[in-house]
Amino acid sequence: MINVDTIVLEDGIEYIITKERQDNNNTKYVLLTNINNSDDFCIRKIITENNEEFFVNLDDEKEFIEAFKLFV
Amino acid sequence: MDNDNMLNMINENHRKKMIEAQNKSLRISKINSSKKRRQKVNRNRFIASLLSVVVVASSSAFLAPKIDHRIEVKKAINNQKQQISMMLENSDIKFSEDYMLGMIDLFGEEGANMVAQDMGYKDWKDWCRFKGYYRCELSSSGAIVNKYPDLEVAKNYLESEAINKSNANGGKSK
Repeated sequence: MINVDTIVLEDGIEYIITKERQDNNNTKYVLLTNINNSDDFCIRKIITENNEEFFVNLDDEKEFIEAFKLFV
Repeated sequence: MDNDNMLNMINENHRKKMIEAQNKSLRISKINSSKKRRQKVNRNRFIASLLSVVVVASSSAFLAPKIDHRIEVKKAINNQKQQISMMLENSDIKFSEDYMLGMIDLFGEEGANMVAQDMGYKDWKDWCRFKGYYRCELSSSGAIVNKYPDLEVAKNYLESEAINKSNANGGKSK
């Protein structure tokens, strides 16, 4: 067994925070994988507001593809 | 179903998963990262989750069209090996029985073949024969009348071995 960080998204599913990557503009992205189904995954962006960190949605398909490339 | 049709079906299936992943990534939400929590998960399943993403991407023709599923899967996994070792802070992780369980889960016979061949066996059946993972047919008197290599038997054995190892380490990863 290993220790991992997880988070529950708005769909009520718990995801493993599988990887974190930063692009050339210093934007941070996280790859989240469903804890019960490794084929089910998504990417979120990390933003900081008032010293608090949030996982937010990506803006569009282009950003998704560029972010995805950081993980493969 | 012939090989090409099967590969097309796998690719199509993975393409759909990529579209689902994209839709999910674009769904508007804002979750405070303080809601993160620490959990224990099975190590092999975690490895499978790391590999699964690249495999889905590679074989979905999402990032590169017209690619051979098998070649891309192997390439993707090889690319991930070092990263996985680093992430798990375990530099001696290699393609071995450690990986077999996750790979069987993820790719069935195809995954088992990759690991077996990496360890120098001809295929997963060859590996099962060497390890003695057989399913046996018994006669009414209980004598073995037939035996053949079986991935389910291997998987059950590896799962119980992983649990034993984990218990022996006090629940820590190897």
